[in-house]
Formats: sequence, C-alpha cells, structure tokens
Amino acid sequence: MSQRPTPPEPIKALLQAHGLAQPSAAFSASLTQLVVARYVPPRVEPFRAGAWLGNAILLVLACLLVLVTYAAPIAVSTVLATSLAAMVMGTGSLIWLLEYYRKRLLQQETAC
Amino acid sequence: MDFFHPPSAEDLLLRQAGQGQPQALAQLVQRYQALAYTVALRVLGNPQDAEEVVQDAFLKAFAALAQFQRAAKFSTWLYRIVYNTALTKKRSRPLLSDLPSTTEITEEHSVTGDGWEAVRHADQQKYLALALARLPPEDALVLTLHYLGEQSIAEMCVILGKKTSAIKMQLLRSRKQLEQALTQLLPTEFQHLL
Repeated sequence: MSQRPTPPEPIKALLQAHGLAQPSAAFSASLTQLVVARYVPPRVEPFRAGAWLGNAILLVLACLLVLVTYAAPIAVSTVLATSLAAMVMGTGSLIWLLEYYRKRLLQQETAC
Repeated sequence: MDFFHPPSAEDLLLRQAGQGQPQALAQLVQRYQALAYTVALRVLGNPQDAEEVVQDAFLKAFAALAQFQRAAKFSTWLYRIVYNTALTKKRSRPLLSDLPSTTEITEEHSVTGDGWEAVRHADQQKYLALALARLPPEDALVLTLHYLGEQSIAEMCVILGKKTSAIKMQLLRSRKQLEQALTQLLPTEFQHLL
C-alpha cells in the first residue's frame, strides 16, 4: 500500500521551530572579532598629522608674503605688485585645497 | 547603480562590508552564521569540525566579496562555500570519526511519552534531532536548506551542484523519510502534528 506523503507545511513548521543548530556563544563572538579584525582597514592617522603640518607651513609662508607686500616702498613697480598678489593667491589656493582634502578624509574616517 | 532597481538593504550591507565597515561585517556574520553552522553540521555531524568549517567559509567569502556576483543571493553563495568546505573537510578526515552518534540517542529515547502534548514543547527538538540523525546526511541537508534556509530549488542546485530534477526527487524523498522517522519515534503523537 502506497502511503501519501505528508504536506510540506507541518514539516516546515517543525524544522523552523527546532531545526536550527546554534554554534557556541564563544565561537560566535570569536568569529565576529576575527572577521572584523581581518577585513576592517587600518586608520590613516599619519596622513592627518602631515596635513596639519603642511597647513601650518603654508600659513607661515602666506603671512611672510603679506608682510613683504606691505613693507615694500610705495614706488614699487606694478609688475612686482601683481606677481606678489599672484603668489599670495596661489598660496591661498594651496591651503584651501589641502583643507578640502583633509575634510574629505575626516568624513571618510567618521563613516567607517 | 541602476536607476530602476535601487539597491536593497542587503546590497547596501554587502557594499559597506566590502568597504570594510565593522558593523556591516559583524551584521553579516550574525545573520548567516547559525544556518551556515547547521549546514556544516549536517555534512560533518561534529560540532567542532562544523565550527572550523564555518570560520574558514566566512573568511573565504569575505576575502572574495569583490568577486561575488549580485545575480545570486549572498546566502546561496555563502552556503555553497560552506558546503564545499565541509565536503573537503569530510574527505580529508579519518573514516572512524565520521559516524554520527545516532544509535546511542535512539536507544535512549525509544520509549514514547505519555502524549504529544507532553513532548510537544520540551521534546520536539530532541525527537526532530533524532529523526534527522536517522536520515542520510545529504537528505537532512536538503531539508535544512529548503525549509530552514528558504532556498529555492534553483538555488539548491547552485549550492549542491545538482540538477533540478535530482533536487526535487531528493526533497520529496527526504520529506517522506523524515515523516517515517518521526512516525517510528512517535507512532501516535506524530499524527497530531499533521
């Protein structure tokens, strides 16, 4: 006599209620730690310190240029004045760029 | 990113894990470790070996996360890695330790209880474990993947490397075998479950 197979629902319910084996809590914790330790990239502290130092140096340079500009005699030529202004603007742009990349780096770090 | 198919929560989680975000990595481990462990346990029948296999499988999966094709589900891909790692482990280990301890458990619980209600809460898990232990490991694995892991027939084909017809047949046979095993263990009580 052929037996009618059981409909899947009771078997499914039984398996879902009791069929899942759990690994030990110690193993679970150590696995998470291992995965995180292996696949999380290291922090980028050295670059941040470098960026601050670069900013400081550029700021000092900019201050020196401003001082030179103000200390120059009135009869200084227009060419010299224009080139000095260009140097100040260039230094300012460099500072701005450096600051911009530093902020982006900080944002990436906080996202991690 | 496809404008018409925005990324699912799991896609975002996988992307964050790929970028090395610790919360995402931990969340993926927590989400899939129990079933990965159950799959390994069904193949190997030994908790220590199963834990070892699960650890290896997770490390392999995260190392190759960049190569993971989004066409398949992450769970399907992970369980395939777990299954293959467990098979390799099983082949490499001595034959003696391969035997699950089914006989001793069966003798211990051969007498049925006073009624289904009595065994329903505390003993259901025990009797299910006994019944699953009576099945061939591959059949118990098919039931686990389909009913617990909610893997479709097509996904099970990917995990186990078999054809659709073979998986369907095996699923039907496994269900019948589990039913028979439960009926043998609990001749009257099992009928109340249906």
